[in-house]
Amino acid sequence: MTANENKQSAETDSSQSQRILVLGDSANDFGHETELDAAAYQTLSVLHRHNLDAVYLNDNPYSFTMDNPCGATVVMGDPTDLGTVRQVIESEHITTIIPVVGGRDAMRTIEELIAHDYLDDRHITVLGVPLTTVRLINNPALMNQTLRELNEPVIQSQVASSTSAAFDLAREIGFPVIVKSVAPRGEGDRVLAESADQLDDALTEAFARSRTNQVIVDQSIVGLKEVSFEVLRDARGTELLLGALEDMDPVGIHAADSIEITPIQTLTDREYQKLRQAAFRVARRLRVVGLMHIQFALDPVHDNYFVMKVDPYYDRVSSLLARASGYPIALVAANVMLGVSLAEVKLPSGFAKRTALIEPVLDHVVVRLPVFSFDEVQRRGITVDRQLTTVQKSVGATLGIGRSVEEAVLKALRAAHYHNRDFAFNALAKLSDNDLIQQLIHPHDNRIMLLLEAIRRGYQSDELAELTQMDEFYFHKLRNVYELEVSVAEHPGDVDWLHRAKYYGFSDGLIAQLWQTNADAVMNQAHSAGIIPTFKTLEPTAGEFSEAVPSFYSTYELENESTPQSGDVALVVTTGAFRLGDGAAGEYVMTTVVSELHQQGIKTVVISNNPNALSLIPQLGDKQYLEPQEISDVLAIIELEHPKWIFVPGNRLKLIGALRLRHENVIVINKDKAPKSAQDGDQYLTRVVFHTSKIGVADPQEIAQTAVAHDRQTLKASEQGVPGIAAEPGAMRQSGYYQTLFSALSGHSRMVTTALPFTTLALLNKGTGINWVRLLVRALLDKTTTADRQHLEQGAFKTTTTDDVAMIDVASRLDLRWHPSLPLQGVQFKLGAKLQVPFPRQFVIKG
Amino acid sequence: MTERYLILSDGTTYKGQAFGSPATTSGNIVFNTSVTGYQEIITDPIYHNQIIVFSTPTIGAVGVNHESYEAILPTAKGVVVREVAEVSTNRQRTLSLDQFLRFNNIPGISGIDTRQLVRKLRTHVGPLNASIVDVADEHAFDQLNATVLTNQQVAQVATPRPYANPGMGHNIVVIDFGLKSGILRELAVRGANVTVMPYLTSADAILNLDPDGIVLSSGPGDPRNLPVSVLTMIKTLETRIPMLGIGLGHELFALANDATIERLPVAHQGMNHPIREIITNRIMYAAQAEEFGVDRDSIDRNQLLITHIDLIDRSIQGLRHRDYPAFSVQFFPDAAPGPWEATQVFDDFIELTGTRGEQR
Amino acid sequence: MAKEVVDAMAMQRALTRITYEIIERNRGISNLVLIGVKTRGVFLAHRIATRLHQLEDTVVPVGELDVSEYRDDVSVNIPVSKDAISNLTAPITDKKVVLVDDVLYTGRTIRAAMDAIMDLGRPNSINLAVLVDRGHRELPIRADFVGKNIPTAQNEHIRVSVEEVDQRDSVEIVTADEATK
Repeated sequence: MTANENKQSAETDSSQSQRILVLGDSANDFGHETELDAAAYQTLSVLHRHNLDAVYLNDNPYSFTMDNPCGATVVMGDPTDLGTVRQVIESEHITTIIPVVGGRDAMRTIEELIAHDYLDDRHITVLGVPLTTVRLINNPALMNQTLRELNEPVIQSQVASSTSAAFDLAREIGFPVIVKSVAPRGEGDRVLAESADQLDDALTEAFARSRTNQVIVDQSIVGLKEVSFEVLRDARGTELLLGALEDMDPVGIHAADSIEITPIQTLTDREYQKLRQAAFRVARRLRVVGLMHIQFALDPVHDNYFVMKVDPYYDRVSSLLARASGYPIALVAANVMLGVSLAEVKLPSGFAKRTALIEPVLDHVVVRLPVFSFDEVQRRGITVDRQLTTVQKSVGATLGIGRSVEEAVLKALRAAHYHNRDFAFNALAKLSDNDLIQQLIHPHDNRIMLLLEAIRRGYQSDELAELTQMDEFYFHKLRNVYELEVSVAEHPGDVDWLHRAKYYGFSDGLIAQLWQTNADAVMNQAHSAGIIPTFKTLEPTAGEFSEAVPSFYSTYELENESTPQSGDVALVVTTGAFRLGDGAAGEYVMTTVVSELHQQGIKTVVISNNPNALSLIPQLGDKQYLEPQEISDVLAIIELEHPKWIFVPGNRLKLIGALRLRHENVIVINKDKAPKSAQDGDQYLTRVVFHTSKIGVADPQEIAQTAVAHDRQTLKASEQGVPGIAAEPGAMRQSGYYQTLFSALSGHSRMVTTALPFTTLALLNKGTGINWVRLLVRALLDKTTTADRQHLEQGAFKTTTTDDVAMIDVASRLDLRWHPSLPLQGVQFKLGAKLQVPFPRQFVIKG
Repeated sequence: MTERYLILSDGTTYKGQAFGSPATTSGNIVFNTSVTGYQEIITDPIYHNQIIVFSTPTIGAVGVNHESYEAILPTAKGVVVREVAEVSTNRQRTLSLDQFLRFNNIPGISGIDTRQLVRKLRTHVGPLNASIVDVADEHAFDQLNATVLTNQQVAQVATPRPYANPGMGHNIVVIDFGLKSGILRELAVRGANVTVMPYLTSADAILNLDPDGIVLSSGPGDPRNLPVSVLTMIKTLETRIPMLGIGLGHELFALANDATIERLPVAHQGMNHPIREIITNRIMYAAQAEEFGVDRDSIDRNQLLITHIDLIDRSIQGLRHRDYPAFSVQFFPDAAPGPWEATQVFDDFIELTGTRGEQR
Repeated sequence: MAKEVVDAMAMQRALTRITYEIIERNRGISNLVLIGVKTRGVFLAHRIATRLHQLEDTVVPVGELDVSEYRDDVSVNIPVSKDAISNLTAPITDKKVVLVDDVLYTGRTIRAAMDAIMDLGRPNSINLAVLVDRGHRELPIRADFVGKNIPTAQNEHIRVSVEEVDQRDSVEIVTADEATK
């Protein structure tokens, strides 16, 4: 351990006066789902276990951690605002800061604090990343220089302060070039410019976003193989590799928009170990104490590589690898950050060896498929630029896990589409040959289907490899899928082919399409032929040790490792892949449901396929299935787990319908599928939110009496003699939260009653300081408490604080990413929101 | 697609698809949890007479290339995997894995629930034999049960006569017990002038070559099955010349210094176990393929120092003589396949020979 | 220009090797005393002691020696003082002393160190361990344990950095004018 690192590591035993500020993640956005919230929760739980005094600062209305801070003090305020952070540091007497669960924004906040000598003046330490490294992360030019000192190959790259200087560089390097901002505001983008015109545009944007009015012009390495390694390093300098993933797509498509696969498939051991070694060298040089994600561009032809990106904090890759391997990355990294050595960290008791030092190895294949919500916009008659570039366009992702690449890819695809009709083998049959070639060269969001279509039209693997610059290996895998599709279609009703199809990840729905029958018929046939899924454990030793990690995926093999739990079981289908809109809010609500069920002593089983899902935090529930959420997937799990209740988010209409036919206790956590209030702009001014514990039609009178909260406008409206609430009876089918909306235009006369959007429910929780979701779960279980009854009877609006807590939607620069034909306005296009309070203040939620 | 069967001597049958050679073979079945490096693993002579189960779901995607042979002729008896990539696409490939196995008369079988198989093997006490066959009938099991595997694996894979691997640096003699190329590669990188000697060479014959250092190579099987003359040779040489033992060479070094060897309850083959270098407390990772280990209690602490241990199973991973510049490691420091941090063992060895050289 | 000739990892390995050689040469470590020559030799001696402790679970005493007073090439000769060895509680008489320094150059420092030790007692033997031997000896002194031999020109200097005071481990060759900076 070095003297320097000593200073950074917290002394866990002499913590009397130490007070740690954990910077929250603030608004969700592109590349920022709930993985940071999940990491924050686990980090706070570790701080708590070490008896450390912590303060969590956040303004994300969908933050689960703010409601459940594991003993930490929560301050509601903007963690990305320097003034707020300084105010909190001073008022809370902060001695130490943890930025790594706040993403890149938190790194920038730290950099600004350094720039003002603020940390030195107050002797504040930062855990996880040395201050010199924080500077490097925010300054690509400095980072490149450091990497060069290490003899790590970096992309030829230079800084320019003017357009003409940038053009000089482009002339020197040669087109194509990549342009990025120095010290950008918001997420740093890399824009590819292949011509002078494109460079002009890219420079205008990049200069505008740079806080130093500088840009970086990089040599383009488009077409190389893109791989990511995730390293864990402790204060004593012990390093281990948590995993590595390979992008099927070459460099040139943003990694988050790439189809990613782990374990790495197409690298030789020599290449793999070379990059592992390089990753360790960089982590050592940057003196990282915790996690580091490093992205490489590999040039296999010239046996060469480049370092593309270094992120020494939590991101989607750490989250993905934790899901893929079952290794508790966030828990271990939090301990390491506090100065506990990897040799001393003990894994939870389910792990056979309990040592954090084992390097995870997989005996399954995990595919991460990005999800683009282009269609949601196109359905409104707005066209968008669907071509994938160096700028992230995806809004979510799914995981597919299986025992073959084919199975994992197909499961990820199924998870990304709620309906089979979107995912049919002939989906692209009508595409012209010319469009097909264009899209092979300039890929769109649909590329797996496109590649299958190309194979169908007779393209050979080597041709495709040349056009797409993807590894030929994947075309052989897709060819297997295609050939299987053909064979299955030729053998309707054949049990052997049915088995083979299931073995490689075909769903009942897909097979039904090929056999021109319905999914139920296929399911029944498979069932009676004994073709049922076997569930395997997601654990980090590839079967070498008996690891009791309660996390599973399905496949069709010999041995099933998942056994039913004793006691009452609740199955919770959580949000799945995020789309445009309130994914994070939905995940927040569903995770709260899981947490409450678990606290009520009910065994929880979560089904999710979102690698960033909050609901997959291991210690929140009892069991997890990382599976697609089609009816057949859910039924297979029901058959094994025999749940007493099934909880489903309200937007999964088809699933809800299918489940209700087969299970008596399907509970819909109701939400409006499209938040109408905002969709129609200011038309609805007034909103009344109410709760009913009755299933069926509620009496309008009763509804008025059970109103639990409403906002400022409603308060005003009711003073004026409104509301005379009359609900649309059919709207309320079961216990839950509903809203009645009044038109502002026609004298409060037009009303509509709908389920409450998750976003509003989240605001309600944060604004009133009462956890209405937990209250609802208890009501559904007939476990309502006296306090709950009081909250309901009083109608929280009497004591509500919503007046000074507002929720503002955060612009996601969607227009710059998607280039829509019309401006995209309205809450359904927003990925995140912030809570706005007049001044940072402590927050405690009841219930 | 031809169906074939993997049968185990405990009576289990697995149905799968054939790849590689259509031959019927029998061998001792072991599993390896490495995610990369299938070519190096399959060609390593330590797998002589063994059927290798890969826990990683897919192998074959990078084909077979010039740089990754650990022996010219692989002598493994079979490859068991969930999926084999039918075509190699790695730019370095010369052959696909299927072609390569066909060429070398090694059968493969895919479509196996290797996770279930690994979970079975890890709990099975003692070695288990297996066959890859066309028909899993009583006859096949009779054949399997009648199979007697040799315990003279070293004799079958080690070189019968000396050969040189010239370089301009230190004069190193490698004693071949089933040498893998990685060891020669690492010595060559360090400029060593290497002479490979058969394991039955006398100490005098080796001393006549005036070596600066001696490497006892890795190799297959139980070290206790080798003639006592080998131990005598090691005992004589260790007092005179800096020495490095690897794998089987490590086990022989331990035996020569009066420690005993025992069969591990479960063999460990992989590259993800933390290994602690005791003197520095440094943790490293390396490829390991171990069925035998040094019995900790048998070590005479007045003769040998324990230098490395495996933090997962606490097995002895390194020894050093107290009085002589001789040391040994159980793991594979040649990183072929495997993490590169362990290659420092060769730096240590060369430096040891270097400083001695200057003093003489 | 400073040129790194030994990096952190190589320095660690050199100290590890020296430790093993000390065990080998002394047939065990009972009766051993390590004496580090200030400043960096002290840190190196402690590192060797830590290694011996890890390996043998035995604490080997470490002494510190400031020999600036003994140097015969320093113009002002200050009288010999017994305070020169600080931090050494164990007696050195009849002990096997291993003197540890970072760089062996003319040999005058080591001679001074031996003088100081002999003033304090009568060790059984004195061995010398150095991280770097850069040549140009002016006295008949040879190191028993050498981390690395680095032949240098007279106008070059060897700069040894250790984590404990320099925040990094490395050995660099620097030119004379840079060294005086």
